[in-house]
Amino acid sequence: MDNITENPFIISTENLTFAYNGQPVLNHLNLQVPGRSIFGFLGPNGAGKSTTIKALLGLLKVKPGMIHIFNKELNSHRLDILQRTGATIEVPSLYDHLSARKNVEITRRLRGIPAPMVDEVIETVGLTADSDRYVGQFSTGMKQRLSLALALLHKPDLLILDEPINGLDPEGIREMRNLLLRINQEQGCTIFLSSHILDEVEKICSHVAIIHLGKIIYQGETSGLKRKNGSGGVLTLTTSDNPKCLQIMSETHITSLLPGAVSVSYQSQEDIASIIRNLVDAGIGIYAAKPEDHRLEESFFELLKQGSEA
Amino acid sequence: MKKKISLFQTVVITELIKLRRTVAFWLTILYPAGAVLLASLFLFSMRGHSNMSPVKAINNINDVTAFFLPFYVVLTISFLCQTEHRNTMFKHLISLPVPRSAYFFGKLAASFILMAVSWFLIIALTYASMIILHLTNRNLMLFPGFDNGYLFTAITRTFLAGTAMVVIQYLISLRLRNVVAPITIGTTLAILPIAVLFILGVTGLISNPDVLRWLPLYNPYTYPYSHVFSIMRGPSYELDLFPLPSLIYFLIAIGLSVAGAYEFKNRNFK
Repeated sequence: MDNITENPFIISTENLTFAYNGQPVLNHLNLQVPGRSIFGFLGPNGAGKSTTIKALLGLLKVKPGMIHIFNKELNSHRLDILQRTGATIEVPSLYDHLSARKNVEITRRLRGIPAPMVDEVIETVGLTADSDRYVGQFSTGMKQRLSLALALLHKPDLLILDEPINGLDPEGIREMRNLLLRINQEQGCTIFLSSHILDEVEKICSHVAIIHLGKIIYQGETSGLKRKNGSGGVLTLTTSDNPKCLQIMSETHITSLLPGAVSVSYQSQEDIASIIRNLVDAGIGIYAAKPEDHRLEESFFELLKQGSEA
Repeated sequence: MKKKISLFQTVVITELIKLRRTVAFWLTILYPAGAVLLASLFLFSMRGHSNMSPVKAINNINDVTAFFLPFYVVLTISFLCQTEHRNTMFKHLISLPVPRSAYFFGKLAASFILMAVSWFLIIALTYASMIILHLTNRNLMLFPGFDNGYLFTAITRTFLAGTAMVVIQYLISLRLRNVVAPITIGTTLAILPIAVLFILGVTGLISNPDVLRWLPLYNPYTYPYSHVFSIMRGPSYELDLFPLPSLIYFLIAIGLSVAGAYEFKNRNFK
């Protein structure tokens, strides 16, 4: 844990480049993941998210000096780094013909961890009742949780998760979110996760990076990314006369007519007050007004658009 | 060094844990049982003949064992490696703090352990079969005079002849993800030379079969059973445990293992 406090970046890549059959997938990637953060790694399909994760775990051979984790060069300290790292990669990698307990047991032996940890980690992911069932009988969500158990077995300092909430039901997503937050807060574990589900990233990630066509087009705090798209949002109004409301507001704001409501874009809190005052002055009754700040999703797509144009 | 050996042992133990409920495990039991049963039924059918002897009985069992050995090796190793390919397990394993070479040699060791188990079962089942046959019909003349050393040498020689085949099949199975591909390649290599010889013989294209004696000998998949057919060298009472071709194949197996470990160490797991 000493390195976590000494070095602000747990993971740092320097001009990370990788090509499959001469086709570049990662293009001079400079990634910096702060210690103790929950770092969301976003990008469309084929952007290079999984390739980056595989490179970070040493599954792909990259040139020496390109990746540093825990302030150590990956190629020369791969085993030391992996000793402190837990990971899940793409689909859950599990032996279908063995029980959940046997799957954990195999990883436990390979990591050289005491046997009591098996029950503890199975309990952590809520699979105690199913621990003796064959994994082939598990649902995708249960496999996802077991896969996480393998990654958490040794209480890692760094957790690298590739699409950890894929296949989970809403309850499972909420449990996973709470579990990751708890691990981050209680164990000080840095979590690097890739995901397509932007809402979830927004809820749990302190930092995000967006990768597009093998290049990082944004990295920093999640709140910073949302600010890039302006500080305003969209006000959804339910009024006594929606068509008239639309007519008045369209002169000064970007508006659209929704089923039973009108959406009006705003720039600031003062703007919301001004919109409501104008409508009341025009004799329109306001039944409901629901402001919603710009979301990560909008910033994400805006950045992707800019990235493609560039 | 001690740590490396300990880690290697751990990998081998995990390989054995993974064998539970696998085709490879059941084949390791079924192959010796099937081979000995097949040969024993033939021996039982010979109860009325006077020319049966313990050496001939052992040769029969050894010939059946040798003929099915390539198919057993092809299937067992292909399915052994398939447990890793099926759920992209290598991605998980490589992300653990274990050297890649430990996985490579650990799994190879597990393959040889399975061979050793089937070797042991064949010898044990042969004794069981001989005793049962002797009790069933004493005209078979199996006891006394049963040559334990000959049985051990014959079966062991057959298995030692398969070392290169084991390593080659392992490399193919480790490389190709779809289990059909290594099984097809292995089975073809095991059958094709003998099929060619049969076809050429049936059509009368070979007047002197001795000219093609080299064909099964130089193929690691047919070498273990190259002594079975009359077209090749017939069974003899004087058996070497490690004849020169076996020694050459053994050296080839070591060379291929080192090359395979190097390739595995530098492979990209996409």
